[in-house]
Amino acid sequence: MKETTRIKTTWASLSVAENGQAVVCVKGNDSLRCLRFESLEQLRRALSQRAIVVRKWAVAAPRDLCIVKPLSLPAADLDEAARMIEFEVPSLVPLPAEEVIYGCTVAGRQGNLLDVLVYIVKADVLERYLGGYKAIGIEPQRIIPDIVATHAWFKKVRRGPQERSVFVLAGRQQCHILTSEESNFQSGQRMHLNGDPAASALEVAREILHQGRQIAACPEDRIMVVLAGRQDLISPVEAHLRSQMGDAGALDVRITAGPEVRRHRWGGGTLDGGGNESYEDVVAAGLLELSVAGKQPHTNLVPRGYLARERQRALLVNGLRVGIMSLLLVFLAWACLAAANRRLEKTCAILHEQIAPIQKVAGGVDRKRQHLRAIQRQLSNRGRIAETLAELYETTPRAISISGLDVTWKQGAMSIDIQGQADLLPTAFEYTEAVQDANLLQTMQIINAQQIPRAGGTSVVEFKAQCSVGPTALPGVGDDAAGVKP
Amino acid sequence: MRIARQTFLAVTTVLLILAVALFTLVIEPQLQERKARLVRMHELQVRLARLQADLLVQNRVDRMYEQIEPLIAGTGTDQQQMSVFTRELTDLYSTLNVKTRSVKLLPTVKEEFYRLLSVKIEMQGHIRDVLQFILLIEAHASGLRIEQFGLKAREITDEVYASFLVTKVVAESGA
Repeated sequence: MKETTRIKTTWASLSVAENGQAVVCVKGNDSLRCLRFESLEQLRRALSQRAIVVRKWAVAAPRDLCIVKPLSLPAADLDEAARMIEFEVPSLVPLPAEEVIYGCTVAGRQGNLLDVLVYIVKADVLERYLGGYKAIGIEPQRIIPDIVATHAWFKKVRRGPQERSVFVLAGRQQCHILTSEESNFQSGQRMHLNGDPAASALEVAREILHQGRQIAACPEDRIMVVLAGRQDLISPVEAHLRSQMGDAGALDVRITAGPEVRRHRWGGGTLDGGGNESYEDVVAAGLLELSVAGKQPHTNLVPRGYLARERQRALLVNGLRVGIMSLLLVFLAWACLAAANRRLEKTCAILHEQIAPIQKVAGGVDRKRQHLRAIQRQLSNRGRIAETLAELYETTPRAISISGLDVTWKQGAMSIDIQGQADLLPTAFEYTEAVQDANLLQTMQIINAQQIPRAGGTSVVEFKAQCSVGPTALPGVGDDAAGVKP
Repeated sequence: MRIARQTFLAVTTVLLILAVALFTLVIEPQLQERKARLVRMHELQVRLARLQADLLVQNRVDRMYEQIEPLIAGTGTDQQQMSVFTRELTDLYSTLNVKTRSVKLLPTVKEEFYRLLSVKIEMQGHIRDVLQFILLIEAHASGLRIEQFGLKAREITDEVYASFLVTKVVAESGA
């Protein structure tokens, strides 16, 4: 891999070897990729040149930093247990709870009690350890004990139904032996190897058998042993194990090449794979496995204050993003409306331009039309009052005398209120029949009729009537204007 | 938990206030302007359509207007026009044997291109003269119109009380 190749990823894990080499593990399209840097300084350069862009880092906390304590708690699950541990810490280490940072994993369950392993690290020790990472611009989101990461890596390659396992990772100078029960990490051993592979293999085999006996519930229990690492060491170890336990013994010995991990040296060159997994590669791969999937969140040793600050920062950044997006949205809405208004203004200007020349020519037509209509109204029904009165005079029976008339126009039709007198009541009602034969007078309705006695034993009927006149209009000068409509 | 809820409420309130302020200060004026411009555009479109239609009937309207122009030609002030109007009415009933009880000048109604003058007259006289007055009004060259007419007879005699509301149309001042 060349330095010019750019890597951009969400999660990356970092593990630092004792010799100062740094291993960065990232997820590729089909497999994990481990990049080995000669030093943290080389990694810093790669980061500053943005050859590697990582949003979230996961780093390993060396087992030397952590104190691992087993604890049994009456908890239903690990979440509940994690809350209880806060009060148990003073009994585990002689330090105030605020001076330590802790994580935990499940070790097993016994009835109502949950067995957990508590990883305790002093806050100032961790701060000093993280200082090296901060110096190169890395502020990790997850800090996981390296043995937990190694166990996670082995869990991924574990095959078989056995509930109890011993995982062995053989390196050049050290061999790591981990025990697992029902997929839960139990313990981890680190053996320093001497130069003689045969003697080392015998020593490792003995330790494996010892660990196997430790985790076996009964002698018949079948223990799975997974061997990984140096081929020149694990082959004799396997042979020793088989010779001591027999091929059909209680141990199920397997050699694994582990997950597909492509190893590169930063700046070029591919490292050998297949059985030469270094401890740092495995830790980095295990870290990435846990971090990307968000598994075992309670193993995270990142200080709570730091996490809170991170959450606050993330909240602030997200808030800013939302704010900027909202402002952008408002601006876009404003711009759209402004553009629409501008377009309307242009349309209005065009209409003005179209109206101006027509206005000059036909501007007075509307005024003339209104005048025509007004005059038409004035001249309509001309002579109608005189004609109506004449007809009223002709149709009124002799026995009726009219004492009052009120002529009004209602919606273009004439209406006449009549007050009169008759000799008899039937005579008043005969008046309505007489009007039926008239030309202009249409209907007449007696509204009120009252017989009033007079001196001498006579009487007179006073009545009020309402008469409507037909709407037929006499033609006027302006009548043609009705047809002149826009 | 309580602090988180209070913070949430405070942030929500601030955001709501900001949203309302932004809407009121930025979006709302544009919406108002858009509404006003749409109304204006619609008015212009109607006006254009009307003018285009006017253009089609212009010759016909001109011909008809020539006939009625003398009836409406009056460009003086309301006072001047009312004076002419009352003089015309006085000329009509002065030749008749009627007594005017009251002549009331009603407010001038201003329409878009013309004014409507109204006078209410109450008179007393022989029914023959009152009817004659009606005939004279309806035959008058100025386009007078009787809007309301009331008649009250006195017992036994032919003397009547009559009331008229007469109107006249004149062009708008300065036209």
